[in-house]
Amino acid sequence: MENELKYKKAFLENFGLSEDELCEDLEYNGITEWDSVGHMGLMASLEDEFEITMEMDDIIDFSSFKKGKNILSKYEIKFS
Amino acid sequence: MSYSFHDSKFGNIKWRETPWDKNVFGVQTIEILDLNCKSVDDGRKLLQDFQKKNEVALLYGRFDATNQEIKKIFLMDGFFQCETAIKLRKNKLSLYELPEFIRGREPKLEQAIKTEDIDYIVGNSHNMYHFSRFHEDPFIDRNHANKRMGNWVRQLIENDTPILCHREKSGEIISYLFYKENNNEAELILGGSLPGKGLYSPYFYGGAIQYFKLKGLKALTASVSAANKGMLSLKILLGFNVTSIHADYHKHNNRK
Repeated sequence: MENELKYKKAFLENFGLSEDELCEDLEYNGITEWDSVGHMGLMASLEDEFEITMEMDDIIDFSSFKKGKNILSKYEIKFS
Repeated sequence: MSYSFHDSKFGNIKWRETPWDKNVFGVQTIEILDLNCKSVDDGRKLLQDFQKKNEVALLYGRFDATNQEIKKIFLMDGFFQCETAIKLRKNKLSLYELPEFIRGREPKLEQAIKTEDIDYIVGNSHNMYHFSRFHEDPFIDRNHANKRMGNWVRQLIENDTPILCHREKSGEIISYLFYKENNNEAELILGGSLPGKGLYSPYFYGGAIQYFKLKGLKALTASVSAANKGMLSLKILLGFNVTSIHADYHKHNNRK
């Protein structure tokens, strides 16, 4: 549960979204804030939050809210 | 590149024919490069005089956006404002440090393309760009604007313009950047990541800046459309500063 909150917080803070605006279907370029620069900020927040260093391929593959969770599971970040 | 001058008692205009645009749009085109006159009235007469002698379907010119006299002359003559180009500059490259998140993640850049890359790059360039003086002209259809960009990319390659590029593991080019060097500075002419590969752009451009720094260049310059929010934010994030803003004025005769 704690990881879910941390994960959501990174999206909310980086893209300036409210809880209501954050949906599971959110994708890269789906909102103007999630462009290549926004993506970099999001990845930096997730690395800080979970104390991990992501591989470049994973950073590039991280193209949606859902996919991101699968990618983070590689770094032993579990979501309930 | 040949320039011509139109002199009259009202002032003078520096201009050039642009056959590369005529080839795409199928109409006579002219670019106005400079317009010198003593007053707005003189400028209007000069522009009218010029157009009587040079009957073309499409005229355009790029001028400092803060020049109200130029703006008045063009707008009163039936030109409209199109793309707004932001001129950017990164000084003191030797002191440059990449943003922390990019550092160590810059891709390995190549400084040449292979013959077999040419059609791939040109083909993709047709639908890679959404912002340009022609893409932002509502009276030019997107297909023509795309074709114009593709021709430009081909021309840059044929002219052996220096390039940096980044390849995917599969060997296909993901991102590229054409530039030219002068006086220990590089002007970033045209670049980007291929469709669907935009996430690579921050790392690619970060790597390119690092390349120029290690090459010993002092500064970088670039021009980005104000409508291109993504590229503008990226360049500013990478340390570029805005130096000036230019407005593109267009006039279509026989406009539909």
